[in-house]
Amino acid sequence: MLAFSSPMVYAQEKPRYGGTFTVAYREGPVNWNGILQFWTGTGGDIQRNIASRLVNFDKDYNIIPDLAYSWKQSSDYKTTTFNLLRNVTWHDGKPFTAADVKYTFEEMIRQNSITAAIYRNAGLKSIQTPDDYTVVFNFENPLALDEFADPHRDVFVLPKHLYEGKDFTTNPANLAPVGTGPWKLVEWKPKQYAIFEPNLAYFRPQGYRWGGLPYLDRLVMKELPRYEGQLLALEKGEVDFIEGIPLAEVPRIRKDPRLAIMPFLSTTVWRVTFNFKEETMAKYPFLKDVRVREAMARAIDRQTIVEKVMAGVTEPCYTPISKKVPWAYSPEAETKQKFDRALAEKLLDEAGYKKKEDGYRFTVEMLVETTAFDVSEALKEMWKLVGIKCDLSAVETTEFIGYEHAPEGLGKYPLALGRMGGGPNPNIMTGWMYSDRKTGTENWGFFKNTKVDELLDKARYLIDRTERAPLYKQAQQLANEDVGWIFLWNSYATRVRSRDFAGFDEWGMIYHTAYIPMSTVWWLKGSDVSAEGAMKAISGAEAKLKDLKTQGYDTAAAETKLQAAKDAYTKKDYTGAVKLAGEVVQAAVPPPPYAMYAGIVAVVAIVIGVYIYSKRKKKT
Amino acid sequence: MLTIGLKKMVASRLIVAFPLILSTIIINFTIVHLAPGSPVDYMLSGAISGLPGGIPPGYLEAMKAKFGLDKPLHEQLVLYIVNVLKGDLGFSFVYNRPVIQVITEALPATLLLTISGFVVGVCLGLITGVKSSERPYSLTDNVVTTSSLWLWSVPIFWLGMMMLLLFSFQLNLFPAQGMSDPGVKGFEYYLSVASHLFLPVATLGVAQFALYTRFTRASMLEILSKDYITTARSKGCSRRAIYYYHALRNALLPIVTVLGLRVPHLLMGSVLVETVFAWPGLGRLLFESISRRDYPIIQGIFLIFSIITIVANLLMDVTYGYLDPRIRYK
Repeated sequence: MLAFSSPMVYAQEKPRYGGTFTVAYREGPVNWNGILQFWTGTGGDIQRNIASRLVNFDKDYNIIPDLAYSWKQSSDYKTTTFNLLRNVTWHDGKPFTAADVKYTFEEMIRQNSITAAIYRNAGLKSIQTPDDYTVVFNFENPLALDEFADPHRDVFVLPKHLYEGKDFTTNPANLAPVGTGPWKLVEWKPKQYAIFEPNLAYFRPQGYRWGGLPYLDRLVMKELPRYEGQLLALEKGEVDFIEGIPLAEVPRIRKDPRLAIMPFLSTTVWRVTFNFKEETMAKYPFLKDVRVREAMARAIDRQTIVEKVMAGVTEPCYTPISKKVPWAYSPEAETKQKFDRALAEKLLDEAGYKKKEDGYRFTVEMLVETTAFDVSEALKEMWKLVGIKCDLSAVETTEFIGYEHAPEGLGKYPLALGRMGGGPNPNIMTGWMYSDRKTGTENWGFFKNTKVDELLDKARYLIDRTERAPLYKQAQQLANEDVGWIFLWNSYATRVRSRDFAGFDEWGMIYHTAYIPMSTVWWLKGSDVSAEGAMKAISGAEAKLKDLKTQGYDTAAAETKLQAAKDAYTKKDYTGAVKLAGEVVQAAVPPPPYAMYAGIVAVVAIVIGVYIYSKRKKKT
Repeated sequence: MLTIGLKKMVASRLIVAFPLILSTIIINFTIVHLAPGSPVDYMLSGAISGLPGGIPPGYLEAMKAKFGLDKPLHEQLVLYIVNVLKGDLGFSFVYNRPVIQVITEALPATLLLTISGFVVGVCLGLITGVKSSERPYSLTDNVVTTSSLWLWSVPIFWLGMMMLLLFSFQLNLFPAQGMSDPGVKGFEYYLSVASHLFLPVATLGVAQFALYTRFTRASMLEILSKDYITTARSKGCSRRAIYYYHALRNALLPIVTVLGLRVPHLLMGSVLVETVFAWPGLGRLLFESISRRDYPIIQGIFLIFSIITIVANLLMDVTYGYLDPRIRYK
């Protein structure tokens, strides 16, 4: 399967304290307001360090608490209530309350960001705050709790006291953010770097399962626009974590003992899309035959491509929903997709498309993104082996995406190599499977199967997974029976990190990479003692010393040691500070034992007295 | 003696400038909008890299309307021109801030880079050009010619990456990416910028010096054949006096022309270098804005570039008159 493994969570080892962790992103945040920048590229992930949401997903897409510690939905799923933590403060010290949540979501609606559109479609009626720590959302239609955990950036809660009454777009807090997250933004040079330091008042303790008070001293984010530059900086040690490397570099990096690749499979699945539009099908009539499409699917040896061309970074997937969403995944729906070259040739012959003198049966054209060109060449070779000629058209990314949204869809191209979502909410399939393009906004291949439409309609507003699963499984089955697409493999991310750091725990999905909360990361070369522990040792020694002073001890030497311990603490040498603090008490010189001297003198005096007394007695 | 009125010349050029700039605005606008894909496509790339839930129905149209992209193209163009005349270059779709602000923020970094590269290139070019002209076709001359032309022809992108690999990675002499080390303040900051600046400036300098060295050499060879040079030689002038004081000063005229033509490059000549070295400048801004289809920024940068080109050419013509006594404006 996946050819590498590196332990994600170092549960056995005890974390160490201190250190600076540097990450590199291709596109940093343009500003720190999630509502204004909900679509920002990868750099938006870093915003999660300074901001919080109501709830999040863990890596299995279960809901976990963030600002809300508990939640409840009405039996019709139209009302959702969140109970908020009471010990949360903003980075500027002001307390966090339900009013901030209400403000954020209402502003989001006013600004019409992406989640606003989702909530509008669900018929958001009102947001109530019956008290300072409870928020209630009322919808006209049922809305699953998953929608609150889905990682949209515009639902990071904003501080009402900084935003209310001011112009939203030009508010200085957009560039100097105040949040509730485990990190505080300390310095930011746009397009260059951002520096974060731990939020000492963070509402979760150090060691909290999903990220509490950070172990590190500092988090630096560098904006490096090219993967090659990022890799160079990583290998030089200028950064400790990068988000992706070219596939060709994977084997070499695997062998580097200083680095570890962190594989991640997303719920998005790569596939070849067929264009079922009449005009296009007329030019490529052979594609109308489902046997031909099946043959094209069966001609692809996905396992070999994944191993040889993609360095084993992902897994083949034959359905729109992959194993990453286990409750909706359906291996029974893998019909007509699995590799079988002999069967492919047989089907093509049966369909009446024999090989001509040049060895080819027919020619097709495929639209690909420039970034996926290598893989498309592999597909071209696979089809060549069964006698299909494929001409590749590589276009730039934004242009490629333009086809997705255009009313003409794929236009003149009969095929396209792209990727679409299958989770965590399988309803996302509606976007590219539904025949009516008003709902199927990304169905650029004009796939049409009314039974599939019906199933997706039925499943859309259901909440219970046991009710939804059979509907999605059936939809996948039908899609594959029609061979509407050739499903290939999971989308993936190849993050690489320095082995000098540990504590990388993955939870939740952000687009195509998993967000790794930097607050659980720790430095292998950090100190054994935390800042707190060192301070405790110093205060303890100081108190004891005070005590000894009142008992008459000579504390001069001890006080020098105490000061040295405090200096070490300021220099962040916590281990040294603790050691010195331990020596403080021993350095106190006990006072001369006056009591003992007095006692001895008294005893001697008594002895002499007794002796003299006894001698006197004898004389008489 | 040419008799062109100076005031008349400047005035006529300025008058022509307005329709010139207007036509560049129209051409730039059209080209930029002809590129397939729109900023909304970039922002709502659906399941690819944008939104886990896909795009809600109707949202694409709403976004397009918000940016005014649903209006017909000629309407958008007229609106844009009217705004430019009012001095408003618009709001960036991506940055949500005035275009002028975004551009002026990115400008200093670029100017630092390109001016330094320019100075390095020109100095290198002048010195090697003079040296080459001393003994044409000698070993020095051939080495200079071959290496400069090779460096000029090689893609600057590749050249930058090779410099990175050799001087930053293998020899570990300079940092790999960025403009400075994070969190550094005061005097250390300037040192940090200097060390980050070295490789990109070196790349720019060696990539362009071929132009200056060839022009210098050619111009010098022409001057060196003149009588007054022979006079200077027979007078016993030092090498410095002959080549730099007498010859170069007269040879500078065509070189100045070339330098004037290179001024617009100070703004735009560094797109690839900035991307390779992660330098936060205007070139990188343009490159990123193009792939994001951030029309206001692209158009704004092109507009400024056009204006600077026109102004630079005008200034160059005026300066040329001062340098060459044979051309005098009345």
